[in-house]
Amino acid sequence: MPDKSAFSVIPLVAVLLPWFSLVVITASPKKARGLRLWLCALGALATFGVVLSLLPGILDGNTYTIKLASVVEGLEMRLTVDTLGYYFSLILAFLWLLATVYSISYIDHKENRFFVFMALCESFLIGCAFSANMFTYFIFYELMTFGSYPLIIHEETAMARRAGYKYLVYAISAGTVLFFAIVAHYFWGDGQLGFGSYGVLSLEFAGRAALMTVFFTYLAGFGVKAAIMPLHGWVPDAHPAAPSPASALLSGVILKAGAFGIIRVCFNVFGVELMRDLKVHVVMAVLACITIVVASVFALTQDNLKRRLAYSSIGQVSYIILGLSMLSHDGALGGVMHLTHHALMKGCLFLCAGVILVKTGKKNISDMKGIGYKLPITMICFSVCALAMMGTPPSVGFITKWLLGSGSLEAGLPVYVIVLLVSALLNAAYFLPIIYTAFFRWEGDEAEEGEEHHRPKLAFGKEADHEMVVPIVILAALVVIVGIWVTVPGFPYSFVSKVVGIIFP
Amino acid sequence: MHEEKAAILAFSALPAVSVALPVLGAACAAAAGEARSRLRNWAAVISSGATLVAVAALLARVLSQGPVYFNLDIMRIGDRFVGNLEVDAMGAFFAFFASLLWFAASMHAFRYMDHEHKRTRFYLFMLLTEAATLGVFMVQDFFTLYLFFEAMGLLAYLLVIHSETERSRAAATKYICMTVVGGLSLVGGIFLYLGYAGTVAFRPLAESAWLAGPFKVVALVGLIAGFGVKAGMVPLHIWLPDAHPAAPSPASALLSGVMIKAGAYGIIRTLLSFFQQPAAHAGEAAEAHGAAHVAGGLASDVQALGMVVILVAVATMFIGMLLALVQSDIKRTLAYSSVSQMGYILFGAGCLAYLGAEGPMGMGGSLYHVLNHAFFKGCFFLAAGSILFRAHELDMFKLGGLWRRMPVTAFCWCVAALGIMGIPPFGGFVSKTLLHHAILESHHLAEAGHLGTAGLVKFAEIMFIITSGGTICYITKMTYYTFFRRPRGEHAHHVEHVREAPSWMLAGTALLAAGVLVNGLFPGLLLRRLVGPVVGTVPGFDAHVAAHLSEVPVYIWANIKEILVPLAIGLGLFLLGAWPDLLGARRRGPDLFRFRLPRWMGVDYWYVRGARGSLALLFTGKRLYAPVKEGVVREARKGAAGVVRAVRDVIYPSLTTKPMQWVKAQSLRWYREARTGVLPRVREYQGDLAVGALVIAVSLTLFLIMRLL
Repeated sequence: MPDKSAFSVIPLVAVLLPWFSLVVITASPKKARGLRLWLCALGALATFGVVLSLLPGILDGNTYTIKLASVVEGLEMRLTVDTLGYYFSLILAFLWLLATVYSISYIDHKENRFFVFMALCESFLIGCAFSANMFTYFIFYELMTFGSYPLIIHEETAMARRAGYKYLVYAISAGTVLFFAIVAHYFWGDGQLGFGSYGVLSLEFAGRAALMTVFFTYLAGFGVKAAIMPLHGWVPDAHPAAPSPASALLSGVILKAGAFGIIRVCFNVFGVELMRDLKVHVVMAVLACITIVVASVFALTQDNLKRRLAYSSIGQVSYIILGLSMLSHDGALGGVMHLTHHALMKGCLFLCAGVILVKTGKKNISDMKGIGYKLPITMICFSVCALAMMGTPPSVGFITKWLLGSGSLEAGLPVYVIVLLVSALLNAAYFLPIIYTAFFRWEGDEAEEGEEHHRPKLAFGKEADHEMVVPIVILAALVVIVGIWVTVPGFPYSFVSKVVGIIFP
Repeated sequence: MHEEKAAILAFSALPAVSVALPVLGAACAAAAGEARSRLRNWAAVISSGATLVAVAALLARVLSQGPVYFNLDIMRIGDRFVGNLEVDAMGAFFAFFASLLWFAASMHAFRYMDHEHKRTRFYLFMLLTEAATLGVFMVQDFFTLYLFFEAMGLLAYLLVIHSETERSRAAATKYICMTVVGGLSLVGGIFLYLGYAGTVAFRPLAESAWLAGPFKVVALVGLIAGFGVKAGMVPLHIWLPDAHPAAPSPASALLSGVMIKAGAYGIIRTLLSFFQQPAAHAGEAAEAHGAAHVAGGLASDVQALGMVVILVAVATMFIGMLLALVQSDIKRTLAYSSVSQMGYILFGAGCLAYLGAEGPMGMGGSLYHVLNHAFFKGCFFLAAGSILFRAHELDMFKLGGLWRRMPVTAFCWCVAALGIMGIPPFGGFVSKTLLHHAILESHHLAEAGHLGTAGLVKFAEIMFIITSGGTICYITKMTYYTFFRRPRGEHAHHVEHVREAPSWMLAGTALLAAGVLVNGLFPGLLLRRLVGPVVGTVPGFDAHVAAHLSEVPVYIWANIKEILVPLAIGLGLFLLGAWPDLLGARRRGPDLFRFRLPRWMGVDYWYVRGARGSLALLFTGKRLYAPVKEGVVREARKGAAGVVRAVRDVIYPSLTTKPMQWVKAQSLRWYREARTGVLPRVREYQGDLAVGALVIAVSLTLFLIMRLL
């Protein structure tokens, strides 16, 4: 742990602040819908502000800690803000703010329930990010699992219910496995549930088999949320069923909570040396490669836009896993940075899909001819993010691709480059047709040439409410800006290079 | 490393200004929009003109004072990767003719776009493409190059698809597929280059063993194929003959005149990366690696690479020529001609690598031909645009007699035609002479060194001459049918109403024709002041040979007589195909100019089959896997049924005591409840469970295999 560790209530404030929305919703009059929801957005803004207030200290290398409770001797609930946790909390609070604003215009029924659970989820996720040990992480993680269920079934259609049920089945099974993992970790790891800069477990505590069991149970437990391939079943159902802002958060943040857990396990629990000793990274790499390629192939066959995006998310989250499994400086850098990169890109894509759904009622890509003329700003942002997903420079997607490629050479395994290129090719194959359909086709374009009157005109400025368009534009702009000025303090590189720089000097 | 660079290079804002001006122009054009269309057109002309001035100033500065840099400082990842602008002589040379062509095209577009739709979009993307293309030439590392190269490729998609007809959509789809695949091949090659050269800069680290790595062939194939897609290198040229005709004519001129040169530029840079090690360092590196034979091995590797490039170039020039010969659409002929001419440029690049330290002649010929081809092909496409603008027809067999109706256009066309045919004293003659010298030198080298490749070099020379003959034939054919043949009765209405093109369009065309003339009339000046110095900046070349390039005599009988053989071949072929029309006779027997090859002989036919095949393979995988999944489910259910049966038949009968009877009844009740309550749920998830089991099994197998290996 870094030296400059200080007691601070700010982590707790950040965790509790989203509950402000709960108070607002219950206290404010029923009729004032706008006021109520904007106050919720204010709550999200305040949370983001509080998180942001820690930025200078974190960049200086400080950590902030507060003890919540002590269960037994040595097993305590504690919030600690270190660089890695802060990195996750920053993107999640930011994306949450945008999604909350977006929801004001998007959600048209039972908005109280939706906003309350949004706020609760944010609270639990910030708890996850600030957890000082696996025990605390597990508690917040499980709370978040249940908190996100009402978001998924919000539409209350038969499809949404089934998706929600499936989500619960997967998540609860995963929770059980995770619980076992933590117990095993506690038992074999000499009670060391905390996070160390170089990992806390070692072969001194337990045998290889025991440690491998702990690792794989962790991987399976977090792998359900991170959608590693055999455990991904809930994702393609939950994303299309959930309202778009919730899908954006599912894909942008909640999937990442699983990936973040795996990052913690790799960096702070096991440590790179132990992983290399146990050779567990090989399994991670194989699973990640399979997931990346197979998910992209599945995405290729989907006509439902959100389902295609969901499969894309499955593949993209595995970039993080692949980066970790390279056990090289650039690989880890690229993988962990992709956590934010993907949140920005996929968050934007899902929000765009939401605008399309609300404004035109279209869910299938084959129906989206000429949609770029009706919704130009939305679809331009969509195109920017789609190109970024393919790894086109200058964008965050390119930075990830570049670092992962460089990392795989550093690790001496150019075979990963092939996986990355195949994945980029498949990304192009399933994203470019969407752009093409939106901008270069229109209803009736098969008619004979000369029938120019069908040709649509660009309709700027009348596409959707500002609450929906502004978050999309911000995200798309960030996709490019973060991809150009990578090293600006507060952007992913400034945190991740510190963390990774310690582990791989 | 950064400070060191700053110490050597001079700072200059000109690179950034050159890239920013077109972006600014694009913004102005977009802001003006259709409502103020004249303002928009002026914005395009002025910004591309201003860019030309800036780039010319940059070129003068670089030639007189050496390379300059501008700290763009984007996409910085730590200290190792950073996007910066840095211009050396070769980059400035490419940027110069690119901006000249853009200026001519924007003048031409001023009126040409009148009969197109979505004009603002066209201007916007034309200018953005200019910025990206200039960026390609203004960098010194593959990392930043990739940024601009991808941007250029993707932005040009909008130019190809512009008219949004079925034809241009199909062409654009082909184009984007090739661009994406080429981009990925490029980035893969760059990664491997990074791995072996230790840096992404064009100049490998002195101590690195670029070319010693086990994947060197893969790295080279990745880089050259990635650039080769853009360069229209056979067999990656398939997008080019569709995309160039589909785009509006000014855009075709740019695609053909500049963008494909960006590919050639990349290939030349890749080849030069072997020469970039300073001699002293190269010697040290050789010592460090043991002995002099490493350096010798490197040289012969580079020579082999040069031979491969020469052969690919020969295939490119020959196949492009053959296909150009049999087209009837003017722009399609020009597009195939571009493929063929890119072969010439790559040919020079190949000679450059083959000759090694004595390669300045190859590089000089290549660069001179780049300049020439930009001018005459740009001029051709702009003139073709003028024809389309007035006659609304591009089939050369339906046109005719246009020289009376469009005299200025016809004159410019003829200048370009004489240029591309290599007739003295027009531009093409100079570059073809240089290229011919280069291949002769290669042949001498091969003979003197008793190299096994001497026969291949001789073959390349013969093909070079034959291709020059074919070029003369198809250009004569196109010129004759379009401009000089009396229009046939049934097609006369196509040309009746034709007038000379508007002056804006003529200005663009004439500017490029003037370029062809200058190239041809002042070869000594250009070689001494432009091409010679550019070649002279390449470290690793023999200084004497480089100096010789500036003084090589061009218009001497020894060179001029070399054109006679191709001329005879070309005119003979032309007479063979066109004699019925020349004599006004009826056409009988096979027609050389309308010959069609079967579809399966085209490369794209096989690409499409290959792509379909691999997709089918993926889905076959899915289809094969479905029965496996069902099998797993079936077996699992059988197993469960077996357990149930065992309990019922073996365990229950043995339960006789009263408490056991109670247990039995209770468990039966639970079982029944589970059957009705839980089993449907399990059925719902049996697919997921089966997939999970399968993937775990596969992963474990792979894991075990990797452990064992």
